[in-house]
Amino acid sequence: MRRKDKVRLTNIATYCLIILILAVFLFPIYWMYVSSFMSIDVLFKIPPRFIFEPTLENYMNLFEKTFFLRGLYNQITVAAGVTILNTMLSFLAGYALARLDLPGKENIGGYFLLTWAFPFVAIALPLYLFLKDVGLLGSHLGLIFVDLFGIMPITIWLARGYLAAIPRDIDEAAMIDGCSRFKAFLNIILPLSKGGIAVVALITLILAWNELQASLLFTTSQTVTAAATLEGLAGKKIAYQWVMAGASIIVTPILVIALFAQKQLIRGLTFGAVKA
Amino acid sequence: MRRQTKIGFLFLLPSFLVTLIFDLYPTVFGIYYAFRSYTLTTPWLGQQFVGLDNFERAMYDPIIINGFYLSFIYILMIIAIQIPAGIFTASLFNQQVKGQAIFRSLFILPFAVAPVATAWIWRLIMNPSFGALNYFVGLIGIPPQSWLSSPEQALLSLILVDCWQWIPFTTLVFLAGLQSLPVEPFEQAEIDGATAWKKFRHITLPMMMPLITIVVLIRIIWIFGHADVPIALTRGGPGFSTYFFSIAIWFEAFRYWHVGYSLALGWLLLLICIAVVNLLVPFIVRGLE
Repeated sequence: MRRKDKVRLTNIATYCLIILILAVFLFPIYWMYVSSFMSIDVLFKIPPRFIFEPTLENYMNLFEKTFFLRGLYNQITVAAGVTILNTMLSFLAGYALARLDLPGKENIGGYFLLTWAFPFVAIALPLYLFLKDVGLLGSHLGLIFVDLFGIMPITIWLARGYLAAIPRDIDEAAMIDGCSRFKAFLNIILPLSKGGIAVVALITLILAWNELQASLLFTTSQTVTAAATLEGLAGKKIAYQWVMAGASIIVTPILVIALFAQKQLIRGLTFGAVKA
Repeated sequence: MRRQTKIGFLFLLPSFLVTLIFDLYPTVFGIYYAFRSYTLTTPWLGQQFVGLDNFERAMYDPIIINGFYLSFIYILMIIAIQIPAGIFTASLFNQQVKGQAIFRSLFILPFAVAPVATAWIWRLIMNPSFGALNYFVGLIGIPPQSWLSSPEQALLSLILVDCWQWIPFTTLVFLAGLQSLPVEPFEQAEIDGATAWKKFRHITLPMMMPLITIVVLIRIIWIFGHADVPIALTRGGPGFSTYFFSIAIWFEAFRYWHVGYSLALGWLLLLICIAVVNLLVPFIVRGLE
């Protein structure tokens, strides 16, 4: 065989393999969307139907017969709160770790890394008792703080990386011009790291939005998130297509973000060890 | 104290306070209960100091021993599958073919699916009577399986779900690693006439070791800390066939409200996680330098 033919043949094999792998991995997502448009008698057909008459009744039922919309409002509130707070705190801490001369800086970075390793299942109960004692159990604010400490160790690390890439001369020049350290950070450094801020905010949003364990535990029927509302429908056979409609709504914005910020997401979740 | 140091601590203060109040304080405080017999459903029995009883009980509790064993098997199989699978798919996505950028982006999608959706999607697909999975395995001549509802298959089904969600992650981490490999050693090996396998074994693999270790670390910590998808899919069952250590802690806490016992178990898990971090992180740091 000529070398050129051989290259072409491997290319075709690669193509086929990639398409096959993608089909297998994407089918469940496709199936979620498709079944959200199925009426109940179509969904439970054996074998499964791939061609059918789509209906919007699942979405209608979801909105009218469950508390999904209220859950969505709660989930947006919590995720927005976490994203804003976490981005601010991460860049503050990241700046100190990237720039300032601190004794035991290594240990501070290590401390945040260690809190990342605390398994949530192990601390959930004392956390529950603590939130109850201080009156934050079931409130949006309580859930925001719980989400926050789980995400912060990752994003502080990430923010530090972005800030360390900005030349030191810039804040030093600003400070010679009479800016305070905080003003230099606020007016010069932050505007320079817009891209980094966007990445940190998006990763925070994804992690906060996809959080389930704490939302199941630390909410009341008034503050429960949409995700926890859907999980609460488990065990009811009638709920399948309703939940698929709800799941499609919850998942779509995150899929869109992940599609475009794929590299940054991977870099962020590996503490910047992977170069984007 | 130097002015810069003072400012530095002020910058760190808010995030430090959040972890201190909401993470460290409840964790450390939890050990108070670990030495006590305290059940929230029977508060009139009070909180008696029982010394190491809760820890001793864990050593002999068949559910806990079984949970340890299951968690160990689960993590081991997940790592044994997802690392090689990730490297394989990554090298596939590293080939220069048209449309590769789109393929890579699409492959992240399962990883971004929220756990509640993951649980419901697979509940539907793996349903023994009308699920699509039995239809697909039927196409290649395999009779219908019961998946999550069979004690023999539940663990494997959970591993399958986890692989669906996390192989995209391992793949994209390793892909980034492959893309940043230096060219020179490969050119030299080419001149020396090394086979593809030799190049992979002696150049690619050693250079990827830090990334592989990071992925192993992230997976172990994540699986120990997150029981959401397994709990949603099997609730530890059928029987105790998927009753992982983390699920046992969760149910001791939020089903039986055994505060003392659950926190003793939680502290055991915490120590395991800290040990894993201390074991693997130096290895990663050394590898990246």
